[in-house]
Amino acid sequence: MDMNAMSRRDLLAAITMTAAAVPMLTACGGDTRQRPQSQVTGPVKSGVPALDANRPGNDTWPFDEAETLNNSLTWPKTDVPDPASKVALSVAITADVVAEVRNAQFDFFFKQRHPNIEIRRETSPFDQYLTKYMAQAAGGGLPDVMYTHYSWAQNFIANDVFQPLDEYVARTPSFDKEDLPANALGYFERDGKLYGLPTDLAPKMLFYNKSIFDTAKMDYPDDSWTVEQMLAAAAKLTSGSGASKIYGFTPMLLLEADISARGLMQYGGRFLNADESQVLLGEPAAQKVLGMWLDALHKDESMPSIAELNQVLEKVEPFKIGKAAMTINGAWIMTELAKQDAFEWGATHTPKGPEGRFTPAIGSALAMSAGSQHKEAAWIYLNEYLSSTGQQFRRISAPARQSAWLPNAEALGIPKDVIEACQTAMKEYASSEGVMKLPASKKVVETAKPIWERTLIGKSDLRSALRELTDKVTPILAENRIS
Amino acid sequence: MLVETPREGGTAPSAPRPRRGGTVTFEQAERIRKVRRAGAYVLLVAGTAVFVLPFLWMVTTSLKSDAENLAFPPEFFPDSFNFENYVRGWTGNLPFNSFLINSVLITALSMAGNLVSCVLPAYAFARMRARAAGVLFALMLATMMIPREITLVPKYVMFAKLGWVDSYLPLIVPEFFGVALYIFLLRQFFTTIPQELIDAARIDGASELRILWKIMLPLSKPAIAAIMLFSFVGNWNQLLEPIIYLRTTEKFTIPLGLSMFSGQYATQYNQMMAVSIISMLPILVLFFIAQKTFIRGVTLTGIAGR
Amino acid sequence: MPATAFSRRGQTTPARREARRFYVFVSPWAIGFVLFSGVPIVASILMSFTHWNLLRDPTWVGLANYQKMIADPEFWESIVNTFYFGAGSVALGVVFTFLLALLLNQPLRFQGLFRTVMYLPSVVSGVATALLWLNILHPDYGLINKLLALIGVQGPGWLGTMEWAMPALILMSVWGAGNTIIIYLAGLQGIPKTLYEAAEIDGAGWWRRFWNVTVPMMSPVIFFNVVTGFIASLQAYVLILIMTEGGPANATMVLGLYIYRHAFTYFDMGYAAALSWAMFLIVIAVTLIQFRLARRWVHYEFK
Repeated sequence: MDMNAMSRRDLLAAITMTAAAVPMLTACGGDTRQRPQSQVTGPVKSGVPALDANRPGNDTWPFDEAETLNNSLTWPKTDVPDPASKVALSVAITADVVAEVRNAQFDFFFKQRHPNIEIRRETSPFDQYLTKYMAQAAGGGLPDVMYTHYSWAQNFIANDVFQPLDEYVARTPSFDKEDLPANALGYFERDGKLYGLPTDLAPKMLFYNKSIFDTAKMDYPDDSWTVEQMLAAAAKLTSGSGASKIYGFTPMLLLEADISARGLMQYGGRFLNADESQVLLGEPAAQKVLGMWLDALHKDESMPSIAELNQVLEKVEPFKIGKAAMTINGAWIMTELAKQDAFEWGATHTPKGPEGRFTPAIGSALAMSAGSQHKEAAWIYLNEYLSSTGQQFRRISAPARQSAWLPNAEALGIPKDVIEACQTAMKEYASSEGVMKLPASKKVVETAKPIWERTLIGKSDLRSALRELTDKVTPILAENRIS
Repeated sequence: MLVETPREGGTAPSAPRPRRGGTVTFEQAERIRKVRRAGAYVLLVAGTAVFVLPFLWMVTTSLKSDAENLAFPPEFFPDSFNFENYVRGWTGNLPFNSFLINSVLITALSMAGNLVSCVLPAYAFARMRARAAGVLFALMLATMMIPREITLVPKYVMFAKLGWVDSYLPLIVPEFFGVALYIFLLRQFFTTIPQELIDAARIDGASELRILWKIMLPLSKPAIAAIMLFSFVGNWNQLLEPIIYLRTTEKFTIPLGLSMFSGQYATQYNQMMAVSIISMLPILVLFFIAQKTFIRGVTLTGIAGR
Repeated sequence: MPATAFSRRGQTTPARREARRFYVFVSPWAIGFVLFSGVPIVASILMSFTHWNLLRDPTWVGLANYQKMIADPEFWESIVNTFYFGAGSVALGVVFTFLLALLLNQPLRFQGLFRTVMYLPSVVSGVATALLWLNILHPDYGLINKLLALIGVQGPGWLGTMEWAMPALILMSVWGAGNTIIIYLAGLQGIPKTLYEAAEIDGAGWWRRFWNVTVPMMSPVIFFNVVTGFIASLQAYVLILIMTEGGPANATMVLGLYIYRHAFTYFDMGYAAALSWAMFLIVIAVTLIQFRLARRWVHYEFK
């Protein structure tokens, strides 16, 4: 029958076409593969994969540069012995495509130093990392070493997922705990024990767009500024409307985990009390600051409204695209700011209030899982990956090791004065104090968000919003009391 | 207004017939037809503009330099054409050639599994009587109504107990046991095929498999093409399950590689879009083949009308 | 083999034989259901009676999650939003895509190209889609508001306003409904040409041919799209997560997103499971109503 033959022929044709498309694409890949390599590293035999396991590297991180740097650095020692026989150490981290290559290089040289430790690196995108490893925890068995964001750590610690590291620190005389920011280790500590070693910990700083200040003929902000001065300047720097609008400041104070350190403590207010068991937003101090910021939003219109502020994609963050004169943001945005040439920028200390100067220091850490079978090998890895040397090797922009800031900033092209300001902030006032870290934090923030958004839109007044907030958030705080 | 044009598919329209018992003249009919056709083109071109926009957006973004990447409101056209984003994105950081092979393997096996395991139950649900048929059909539909978010973790735990983590088995094996949505779709199409055809074949002593092969499948080619397409796109683009099950980078699929262009603080949109476009090409090729099936089905139905 | 199991009593009436064949044919799905769906489904039912944070063993809490759910105003709020989104996107989607499919079914030049283009939104990367729509809907620079300004209308703030965020999301969901178009196109091929010829001989105009031939012949396919469209849109959350995260002020917080948040932001699996089973009941109720209504309008060849 004709139709039968046809159906089979079509199916075959479809399969053949698909099959044909594959080698075609592979060929494309094969073709293009050689070009960048041959420009940069000279002769590369065709058929060699772009990431050679014996010489990992690419345009951004040439292998030769990595090798030279690796040889010039001194790697820290520990009294914890290398395993006597081969062990496989699983290491779960989050990285983007760029950092992934650097991590591959780190592991490559690590294996040269520790031939008995085989690294099985598991890389996941940040957005799905937590889901992946929570599922893994439920399925039984977590990696030996794992990444943790500051906001997840206390939940893992409270549920006995992480191993305390103090014993291993004690066995590592060269550890130099002084080099870590003591004010910001709170995320990874519980009952006096340390459960995670920070990789990046950075203060939020006041960033400003020099071009906008120059146009307005105003002086750049400095460490003498108060919050009121900053908001007044923001009002003055606001100009234009519609597509050409320039905001004085972004973003509006949002009820996020770090709001206390970011804007309330300067006036003696807080979202939650120190042990996160009580809502303090309804008290006069907090109310006063929030009222000030609401005025800036509604009366001065110096900040993007939530309709204008796309909180979802960082691509359209107003400061980064030159549409805002000032922002308070984490020091890690310097990497991106250093790459763009649309405007000149600077950074200084966050403004102070009557109660002093505060800013959140946030970041993430690596931890050892309590169920690991290779704890000593895990420590050796943690110790080197998170040492000043390791952080210099990885060239991260906001290293937790204070001694790694300057060399990294130099390599990334970040101005020295900015780095010095960051380091001073880290030493003097940036801290984990006033940043929610206990297990209920996410729920607290997400519960507060819609209520606060209604106030920002102008659908409810501050007083009743804060009352509703207190009523709704208070019962959630019971979840912070995990025994 | 749009349905009554001759249905010979891509071929030239056949000679117009007089209509409405001759109240409309030949010339009038021809003019009406021309106006309608022009209208259809206008609508299609306008629609095309709306639908092609995201793709053009991807293309222009993929050609932008790193600095341009940040501009907002974004310029639609790049200042210069940075074709090297394709090269850098595909070969510069992650082994996308391996990812491609992995994606092809997973998708091809899953498609094959879907096809075999959906056709048979769909035929049974459409054309066979059994006491439990109604209950089973309801049960099948019910599985579609359970939110996936909630079975994700129990599924992971189950596959972890089977030792299937970091392998492709959790992604492929379940595909060989039917997909409720596709079974339901095929069943709907199988129900539209005239019963006389089946009765005639049964009287001729044809086996059920033969009826399926000789009558149902050829007459449902557009529907088969549709589920193959959905299966392809679904498997090719799936992200969350591969992320959860795969640990070793070398085993990753293309969408997983793509998701790693987004860092915690910044995203390389230009390279991400370049690689996205490369990964879309197989879908577009397959679609272009499949969409012809949507026309060719017509003539066959005509034969079936006998 | 199931076939032998069923014939053990030896009486093989034609009906019995047909039933036996039915079970053999259905077995690929049925076995998979038992092996791969059964365990997770039972587990998620049990989960809904526990408190489970994934890091410790679950603890049995009885009906506590369900009691909490009934007293949870955000849950009820999310149900309202879910129906808003579901009804909006299905009603608009089913009609719009049907018209588009009719258009794409015309024997015109470049139809292959047009069809491919209409399917593009269904395959382009989610990030590209999100970025594109954020730009289209931007209150100041957005395309839509610029067009509205041309006719002297001040456009709303779209995703940033409680009133317009949901309509914007519904619009987006319709735009990405390429699969629905494909299913309609496939269905349109199954209508025998002879039926139109017969109608034409009877003197039926285009409207009567459309209403008396196309619609009844397409009714099983339309039914499929309505049913699966409702199931999908009542469960939808990915698009909303990317575009608004449920905001502003919970205006787009649908049940799917609420479940996702409890499962993968709070890791409160017990409550997420209870919410999921509530959603299951809602979806099943909606689907049952549709099957009941279908008896009046869906035309099947085989009953």
